[in-house]
Amino acid sequence: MNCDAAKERMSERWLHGLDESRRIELETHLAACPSCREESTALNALWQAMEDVPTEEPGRQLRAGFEWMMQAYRMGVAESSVRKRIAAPRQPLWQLAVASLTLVFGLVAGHLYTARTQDQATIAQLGVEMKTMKHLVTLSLLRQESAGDRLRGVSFSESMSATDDEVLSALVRALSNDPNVNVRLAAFDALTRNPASPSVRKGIRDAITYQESPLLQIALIDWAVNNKDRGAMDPLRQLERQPELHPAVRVRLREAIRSFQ
Amino acid sequence: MKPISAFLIAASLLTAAESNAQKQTLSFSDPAAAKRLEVSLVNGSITVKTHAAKEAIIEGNVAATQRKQPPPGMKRLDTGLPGLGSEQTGNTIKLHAIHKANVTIWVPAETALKLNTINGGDIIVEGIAGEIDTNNINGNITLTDVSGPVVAHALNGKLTVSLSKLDSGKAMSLSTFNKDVDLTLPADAKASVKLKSQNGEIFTDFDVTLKGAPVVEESKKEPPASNKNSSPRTRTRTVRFEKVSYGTINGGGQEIQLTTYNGSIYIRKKK
Amino acid sequence: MTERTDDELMAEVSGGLVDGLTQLFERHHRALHRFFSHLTGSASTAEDLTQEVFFRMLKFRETFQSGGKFTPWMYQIARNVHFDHCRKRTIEMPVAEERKLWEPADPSPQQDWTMMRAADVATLRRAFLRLPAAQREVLVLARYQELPYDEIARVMGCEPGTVKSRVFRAMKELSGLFVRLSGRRAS
Ligand SMILES: [Zn+2]
Repeated sequence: MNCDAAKERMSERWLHGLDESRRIELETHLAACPSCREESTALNALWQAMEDVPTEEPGRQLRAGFEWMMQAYRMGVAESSVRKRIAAPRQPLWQLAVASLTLVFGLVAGHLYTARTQDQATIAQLGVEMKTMKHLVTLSLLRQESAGDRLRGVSFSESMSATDDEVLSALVRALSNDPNVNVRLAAFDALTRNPASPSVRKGIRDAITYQESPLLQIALIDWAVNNKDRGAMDPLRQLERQPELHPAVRVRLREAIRSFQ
Repeated sequence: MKPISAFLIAASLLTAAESNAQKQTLSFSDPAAAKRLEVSLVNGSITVKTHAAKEAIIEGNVAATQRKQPPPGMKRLDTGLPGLGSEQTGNTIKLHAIHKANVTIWVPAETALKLNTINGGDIIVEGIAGEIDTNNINGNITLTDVSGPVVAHALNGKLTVSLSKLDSGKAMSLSTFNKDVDLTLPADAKASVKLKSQNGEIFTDFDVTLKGAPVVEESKKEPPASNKNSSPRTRTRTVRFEKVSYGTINGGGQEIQLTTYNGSIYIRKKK
Repeated sequence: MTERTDDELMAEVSGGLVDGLTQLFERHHRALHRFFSHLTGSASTAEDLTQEVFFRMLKFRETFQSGGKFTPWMYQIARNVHFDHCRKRTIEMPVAEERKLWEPADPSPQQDWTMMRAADVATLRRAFLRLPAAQREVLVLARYQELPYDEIARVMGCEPGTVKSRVFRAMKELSGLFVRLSGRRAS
């Protein structure tokens, strides 16, 4: 046994263990080869030590997210894009077996080969051109008729760690168009959890002029003040000109405009 | 589904008498499927109660004061003036009125509700197990013994919600501007709450575990570049009181957001 | 009633009966979460990536061949999800400096591994995260997912013998990184 074979054998031992004869072969080599012996001792111990690296249990968000995904999927939003059939038509292997035996091997091998490369291609494409799970769930829930579902959409967007432009623009849309004030409020909170990108900033500034709910108006005014967003000055002045403004909002608005000067 | 019927019950309401309440029965097209009731008023109150029957019974009271009394010896010619309109599409029943109208509706308990009014009345719901989405600008909202997810906003009125059970998995949100938000939950309810009261306080008899105390955020920033020339050494200093608290009840669970500006928040344990 | 196998369930999902995915989630989400936790060192990132795997299973259910093997297919998707994740975060990829360790003159680790302490575990974890993604993957599959070599070979698209040598090389690289990070030198 040479050193390369010994290394492969060590690796084999970590996972499967070795039967008597294979173990003796390895140990014979180790006895004769100090460098492999050293490596074996150290790496065996390291393999053991890896046991001690802890893993955390998944939180309940994981299950909730999965359930929402299934629900969102059933709501049919996904249907149109999934319809794209990329896989080759599947044929039971026995149909191929009616062909001559020599052909079978060729066909089966070929079938499996193309299937595998297609899998790889399809899956690799995903990250680039297909939408993610977060899109599916957030965007489909935000489109639901039920305000409770749309709220869940907003809350789902918050549960994921990565930010995503398309989800952010869906939240901006919710802030500006959602018929329910509580959903708009939640969307605003979700948008302001992270430092706003220029497009989100613009969405929030725009909202200042047309939000009619005093709760939202005050939240937006506070956002402008806290972020020292000078770009919000024009929308704030526009808001000030609205005659039917709630008195509490007007007080807050005047303070805000003053703080900018 | 296309509209099965669209008609006015104003006619029947108004021709009978100028004042008294009238009853109208509407059926859901598929009693076994999910049912939905939407009521939208400009001026008036909405009361929804449950009954064992499968249809909806609507009792409407369009105020007599809104309309002139016919002169002696004359009668009103009904020209389809807007009164209380109703519309049914599949399993959704919609009611709407522009005149002052107080309505009471009896529906099966599992009906989902969407109720909106602007002036002159409260929204009262009892015993409903379906999802509730409701908005009242100038009146109170009182939901008692309801068990579906609730999304409610009372701008100038008080919002009182008593849940007979907390159905896990659906988000809830209750908000007001001027008055209190008052929520009663079953003693064993598992909830994750987000509480926001700008000028009021928060009271509860639950053991609410707060995730970090309300944040006092202090930021010291250089003034924006455009200001720098005028005050090169000045640092603007903002102290920001973030009035948002996150907490869990019984270990956390269903998400509930409670928001008010001038009111206080009460979270009560159901006795 | 006999439990349906993963392969049968996924074949059903592939044919359009997507409810079977719920059972597959019950059976595999912990393993996938563990896979990604070790790969990324973050439980919450692992949640995101696990979700993404089930999303892709649903979206690309039709690429599952009836009569195919579910577990290798699942880990192929998981590797692709991880690949896309790494591409988004290139900053955290291993730096060139570490590569120098793998020249022939590399000192062998000599310390007593059996005396691992909490600090060592943390160092080991850091060392692990500095491995190139492909080495992390093969080690996680072998060490933490306890997949047999022939299944790992299917996931990685190579021969079982190649898996053995890749595992060995990854272990060797890991031990070097560990030594480097813990500041110990060979005697
Ligand atoms: Zn050797």
